[in-house]
Amino acid sequence: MFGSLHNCRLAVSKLPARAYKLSWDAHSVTGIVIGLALFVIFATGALVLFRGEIRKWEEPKLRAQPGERISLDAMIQPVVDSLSEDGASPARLRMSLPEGRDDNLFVQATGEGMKATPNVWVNSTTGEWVRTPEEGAVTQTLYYLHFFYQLGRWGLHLAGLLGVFGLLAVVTGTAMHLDRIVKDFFQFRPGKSLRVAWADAHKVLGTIGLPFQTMYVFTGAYLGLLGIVALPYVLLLFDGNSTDYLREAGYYAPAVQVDSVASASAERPRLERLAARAERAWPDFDPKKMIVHHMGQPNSRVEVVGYQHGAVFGGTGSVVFHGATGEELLRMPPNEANLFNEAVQSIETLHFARFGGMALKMLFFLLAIASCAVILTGNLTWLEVRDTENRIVNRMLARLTAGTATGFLPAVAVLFLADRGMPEGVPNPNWWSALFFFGGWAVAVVYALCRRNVARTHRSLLTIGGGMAMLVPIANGLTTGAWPWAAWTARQWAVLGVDLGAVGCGLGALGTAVLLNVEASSDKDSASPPSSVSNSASDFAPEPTPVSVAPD
Amino acid sequence: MKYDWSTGEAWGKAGAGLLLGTALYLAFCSFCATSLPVVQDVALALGVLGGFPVWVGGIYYAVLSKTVVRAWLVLGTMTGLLAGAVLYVRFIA
Repeated sequence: MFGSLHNCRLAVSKLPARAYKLSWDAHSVTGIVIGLALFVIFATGALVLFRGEIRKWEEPKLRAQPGERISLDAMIQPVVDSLSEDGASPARLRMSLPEGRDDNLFVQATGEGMKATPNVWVNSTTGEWVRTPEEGAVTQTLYYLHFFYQLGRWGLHLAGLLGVFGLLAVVTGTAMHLDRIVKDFFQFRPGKSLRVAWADAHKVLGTIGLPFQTMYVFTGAYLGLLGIVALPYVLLLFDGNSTDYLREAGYYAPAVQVDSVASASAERPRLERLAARAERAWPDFDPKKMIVHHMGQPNSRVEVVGYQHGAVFGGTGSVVFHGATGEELLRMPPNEANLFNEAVQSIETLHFARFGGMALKMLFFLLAIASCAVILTGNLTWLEVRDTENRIVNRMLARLTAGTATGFLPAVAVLFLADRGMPEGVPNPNWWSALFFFGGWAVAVVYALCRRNVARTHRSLLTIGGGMAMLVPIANGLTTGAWPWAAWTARQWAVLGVDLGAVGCGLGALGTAVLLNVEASSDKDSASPPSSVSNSASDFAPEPTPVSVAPD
Repeated sequence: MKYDWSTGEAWGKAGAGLLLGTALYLAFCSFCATSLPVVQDVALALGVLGGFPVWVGGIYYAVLSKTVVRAWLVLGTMTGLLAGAVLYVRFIA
């Protein structure tokens, strides 16, 4: 082992020794400080790639039903009527248009006289709808946790900052291994010491996922810090008007003068027709968003914003209609989008996986899980190197890693099961869901902190989480009747996919729990510290294993 | 740690990286917005796409620099130059 490690040192000598050491320290300290938070972001990110599917799973009203897709107006009007107080019209109605018959319509209505309702989803076949915070708690909890929005705007910025430091970790890690990146890609030695095995896994998975992780920390940093990133531009170029910045970035259509008509027609233009006209504006144009300003007013305007079909890198195009007359006021094709629009919208397309369909989402899911493993193996390598120091801070970090990372699985399973078990009409279900999820997670963390044998903690949490995940389809079948075979027959692919995904995760967790060898470390925490420990010695010290995968 | 950090070095470089790295990022974005001889959308795209690499590059430079003083001096000078260019364009040119 000493020889092979020595050779490794020689192989990286292309980066000067001092720069290598400094890079190593910057990489490891960054990883230790932000690792667990980044793990949460990647783990929730893996799940919310399928937030549309999870929302359908948790809200039977949104599940696919037989029949034709109803018109946009038929979907929207009941929502607007319900949300409006004393017949008021929304000042702004924002919609994400459904992509197919089984997709749901997202609606957000704001303005004076509208009830405070952040988000509404409408079943595009039945017209039934759900809204947060009364419904959709599972998806919202996971989605908000992805960027720590439970802490509000500052949570979002914190997630952006974590992206910046994630980028630092990627850059320093890559700089250290750049000259042997091909070798690292193929080198995994589980039969060697645990430290080598974790380090190999860290490097192999890090190399495989390098483009993915780089893309996500970069785009995540932008999206999280958008409110701050935009400040210099908004102040210096747009006279403090952030809407103009967003317009330039392609989130809205370019500004257009809308003249008030003398009287709004009693039969105002149907939104469905406007969307269809926009779709025909250019070949391969996919309208994604519709924004209605001053709905029902004589100066109303309707913006339809969309992308070139299948394009990953590209900006938005838009068509603007007069909301009262239906007259086309502006047309801006996506292939004439400015460079800034293209840059920002490409960031969004990449981050939200708006290309490549379900196959790409599944690939991204696996890469996100691999990224979680990169973070954890980095932590475990750090801990293994310092194993002989027997310091309380390292022991606590090992336990915290077990509680936070492995404990995330049972917490998510509890969230799904609690949603199925919650009685209809319970007040504030979002609060209860958050209580079950964060409460369950906190119990896992406390359990991990109190237990001496970290490997046993991992195994217990994997077993509990895996077992509970296996119960998810059963709970769904019992409460909604959508057993997997029934979902298959009803062509409710989203429901079936979530159920099968839960079973897959459960089997994966149970399988990992079975493979864990916990005997080697049963008395690890009570072991006496070594008489003297130096950095160099601890680098090479063969240690007992706190967590290990059983040899073949 | 692989490198033998002194307390002053650790705090000095971390401070330079975090504070001046961020200041450099803001100065770079402002410079792109005001002082580059390109059309507005190109300047904005450069700022958005180049800003984070500049930020991370600033932090990494602070870590790798020979001394704490050099880290503060180089990053501070670069920030000052960019900020000076912005002020010049805004208020003098």
